Amino acid sequence: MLSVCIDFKSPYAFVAHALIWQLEEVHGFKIHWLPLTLNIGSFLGRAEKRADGEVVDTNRTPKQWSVVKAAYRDARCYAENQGRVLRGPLKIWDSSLAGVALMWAQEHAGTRQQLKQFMADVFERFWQRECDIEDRLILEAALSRAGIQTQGFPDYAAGAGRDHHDQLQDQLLTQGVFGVPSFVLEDEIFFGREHMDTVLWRLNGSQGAMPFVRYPWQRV
Amino acid sequence: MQNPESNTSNVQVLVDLKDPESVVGIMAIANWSKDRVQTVQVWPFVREPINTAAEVPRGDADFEAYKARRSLARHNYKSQERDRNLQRLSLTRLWQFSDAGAILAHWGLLRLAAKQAPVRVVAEFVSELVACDALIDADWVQSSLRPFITSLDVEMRAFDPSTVAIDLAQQSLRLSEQGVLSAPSMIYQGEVFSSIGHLPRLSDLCKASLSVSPSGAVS
Repeated sequence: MLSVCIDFKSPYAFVAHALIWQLEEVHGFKIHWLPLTLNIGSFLGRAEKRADGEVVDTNRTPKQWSVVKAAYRDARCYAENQGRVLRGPLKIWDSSLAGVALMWAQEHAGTRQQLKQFMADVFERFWQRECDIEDRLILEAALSRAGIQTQGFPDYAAGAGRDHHDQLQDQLLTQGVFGVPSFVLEDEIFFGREHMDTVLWRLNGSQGAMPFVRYPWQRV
Repeated sequence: MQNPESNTSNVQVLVDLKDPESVVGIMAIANWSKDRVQTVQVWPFVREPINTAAEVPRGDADFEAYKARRSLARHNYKSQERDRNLQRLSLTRLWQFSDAGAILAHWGLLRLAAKQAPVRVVAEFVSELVACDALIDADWVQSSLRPFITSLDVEMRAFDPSTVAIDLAQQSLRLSEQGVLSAPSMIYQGEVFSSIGHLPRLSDLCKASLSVSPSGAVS
């Protein structure tokens, strides 16, 4: 089974999600989506900005800033090529509730299209700074827009869903997943969308030479 | 010592020959360059990989425990990725350099770049280099280089390992200051691309720049 770990607050997951869906829609490998809620402060430090972009609170070093800026420059370039808007967030969001909503959507979506629509909706709005992913009502609205029933979601989000999410974080880290998007195929992990060709090569039985890494540069 | 020029229309590739990802990168770009008019030059970039997590201020016990687990996961992942890169190179074990061998190998890259050797030649040199079953020492590097630099023995008379090591470090530091974060990276028209995975985008940029004539008119 192919599992793919994502986090709505990751710019790399944002530019990858539609491409990753092609593994299922074009190549026929059903994806089990898993939320991996990144603790960005633990590896890139923390930062908060005002709406005008001025940094008001940070503990980042110049090296960390240079890595963050390069990552956003890179992701924005790919997003624009896909016709998407990527506006850098003003704070490091707690995306765990959105991860819980993803698990709910996966369980309750009547069709795969509904799940895809929910994910695309949250991603697109969040990266246009139009979606508060810490707000349960906003996430419920996104579920509803995708046609996914929300009855019972509040209890799930506060109880079983939250517990499952938290256990999953522990489990994924133990398994060795530390970033997004990550592809998990049995015991093998591929971190980053640049490995999609290799993931597909593995899924198709590893015939011929293993592909080189490649960031897909195309509209989806 | 010659330096990569960041603003040319050549593609500059920056590698660390100790790292399988860099060597795979050389092979990938050698393959890519077959259908291109752009000149590709390969340069050494020898700096410790950036570890941003190490610069995060200490937190409480839970935070530190999380950092340690994530660091372990990242370390284990790198092993998986190294093994995949070895498979891409059809190798079963990771090569090891002696200190002198590493300096001489990267000096060799500089000499090949100075002679404007095609990336195909660099790839041949590096393939020969890393196929070594034993420690890659200065003798092995010389024997790998000799077919590609006919005047090697003469040039070696000016080779001073300690000076070259300092020059390599200084050049890599300058590249870092230009925005190069890791190896392998590419520079094209002043833009830094971290990872060889950006070749599809680079192809587009190269094609676009070729379709514009020197006068600026689109052909």
